[in-house]
Formats: sequence, structure tokens, C-alpha cells
Amino acid sequence: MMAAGTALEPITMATAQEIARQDFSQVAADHRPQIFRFLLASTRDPDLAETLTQDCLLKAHRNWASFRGESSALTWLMRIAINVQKDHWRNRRLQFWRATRTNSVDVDEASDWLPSGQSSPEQHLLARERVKQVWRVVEGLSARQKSVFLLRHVEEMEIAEIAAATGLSQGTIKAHLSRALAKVRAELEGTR
Amino acid sequence: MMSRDKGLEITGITPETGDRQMEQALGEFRSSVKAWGEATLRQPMAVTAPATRVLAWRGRLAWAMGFLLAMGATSGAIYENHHQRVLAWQAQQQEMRVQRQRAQAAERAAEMDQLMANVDRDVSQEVPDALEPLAQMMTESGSK
Repeated sequence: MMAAGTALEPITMATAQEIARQDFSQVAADHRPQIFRFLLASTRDPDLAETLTQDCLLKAHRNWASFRGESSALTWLMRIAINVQKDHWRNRRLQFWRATRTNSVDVDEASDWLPSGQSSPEQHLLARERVKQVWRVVEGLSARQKSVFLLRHVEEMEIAEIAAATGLSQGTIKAHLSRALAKVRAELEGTR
Repeated sequence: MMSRDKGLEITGITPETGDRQMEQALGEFRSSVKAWGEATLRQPMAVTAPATRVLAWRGRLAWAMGFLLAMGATSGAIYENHHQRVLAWQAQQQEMRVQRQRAQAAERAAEMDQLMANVDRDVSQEVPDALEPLAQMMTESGSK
């Protein structure tokens, strides 16, 4: 049996599109949770995060043919997600008069989500308090700092990947991370 | 994936430097966000298309209302300005008419006075003084 795309059986345009479509479906299924989680942490709005995730995947699907694989698919998708989010806030600023619903969850509610690993209620409370403190710091970060911080400390991406996703230099990424962590440290020390 | 220490070593924060609390906080934050994301993804999402349509319809209605209000306010201001100008012009015309009437009345009065003076001059005759003949007689007798 001959494989599609060999010299003996030239690949047709329809076949190529089908292969690309299947590949993209797999990539989208694999990375959708991470894209959604990043947007959820950035906006603290589940509905908005879902909408932006859909926009991100739609844009990625339209441009999938131009993806050359210079970076990983996740890094490429994260870059699109950051741009989609940026566009959203820009449009919202322009349409300031429009009645836009904000379903952002407050820091207290966001801190309720904790893995059930804490052994005692006291430990659970302390963990919740620490998570709330980190959320407070994240809330006060600029959009760029927030993206960098979340990509590093939630999505656990490497500095080079974050640089590729945000379009910033690695030095700038490190500076943003350093400032953000200094704020986290100050927040945590404030309650010691 | 980032190892436990690798996430912090880039900024010089390691457990050895005494930042265990921060490392713990960041780990818990990561776990919390992941738990929230997974739980939210498991929930069925509401269909938002009708709401979007309603919002779009409301947006257009708001635009139309805003446009009408702006047009109404502008038209009102223009009409008011025009009305004020018409009233001012009418008042000015009235004032000029009154002044013109006064001037005409004064002119007529002057003409009438002049006419009466002319009539008096033309009609009146010099009347001899009643005692003049007697005075003449006394003059004549004295000279004699």
C-alpha cells in the first residue's frame, strides 16, 4: 500500500487540507485546556475565557497553514491567545459606552479552588490565604507582567518559550518575573 | 515541564535562600488555578450567541437613541438661537419704528407751528392805538 504524498501518488489539495484539518483538531484538543486556563487566570471570567479560547482556536485554524513549526504549537497558540486578549481589551476601551457584562470572579472566590491535599482544616485555611495573596499580587500586575507571570508559574513554560509567545526578549521576561516575585514576597512577608 | 526548584531559580529564589513560603504559595496558586480550570472546563458552557445578538441589537438601539438625542439637542439649540435672533430683530425694528414715528410727530409739530406763525403774520393788521388821536390833539394844542 502506498502512502499518500509519495512520488507515486501525488497528494491532492483536498487530501492536504484534510490532513491539516486532522492535525489541527488534534493540536486544538491537546492544548485547549491550557489556553483556557491561561485566559481564565488572566481574566478571572469563565465566560470571557471560553469566548476568547474559541476566538483563539478559530484564528489558529485560519492560520494553521502558515504555521511553520519554528516554535511549539502551544507557544504559537499562546501567542495568539495573548493577542486575542489584547484585542478584546482594546475593543472594549473603544466601545466604552456599550453595556458589556463583567463576570469576573473576585479574588476570594478564585481562592476557593484548592486541591484536596491539605491534611487539616488549618492547613487548608493557610493555603487558601496564601493563594489569595498571590491572586492579589496578580491582580495588581500590568497586563504584560501578568501574562509573563502566569505563563511561567501556572503554565510552567520555559523563559525562551515565554519570549516566543509574548514577543519580548528573555531579559525583559526575567525582569518582569523578578518584579512580580518581589511583589509576591512583599505580600507574603506582610502577613508573617 | 518546570521542576519544583527550576521555576524559581531563574530569579534567584531557591529553598536555600529561605523562600520556602513563597515556593509553597506559588505551588498552591498553580494547583488552585489548575483545579479551577479543570472544574470550569467540565461544566457545560452556556450558549452565548442569543445574548450576543441581544447585545448587538441593544447596541444598535443605543446608537440610534443616542443619535436621535444628539440630533434633537442640536436642533433645539439651533432653533433656540434662531428664535432669539428673530426676537432681537423684531425688537430692533419696533424700536426703530417708534423712533421714526416720534421724529415724524416732532416734524409735523414744527411744521404746524411754522404754519400758524405764517398765518398769524399774514392775517394780522396793525391797529392804531386807541389814545393816539387824543395824544396828537394834546400835542397840537401845546404847540399853539
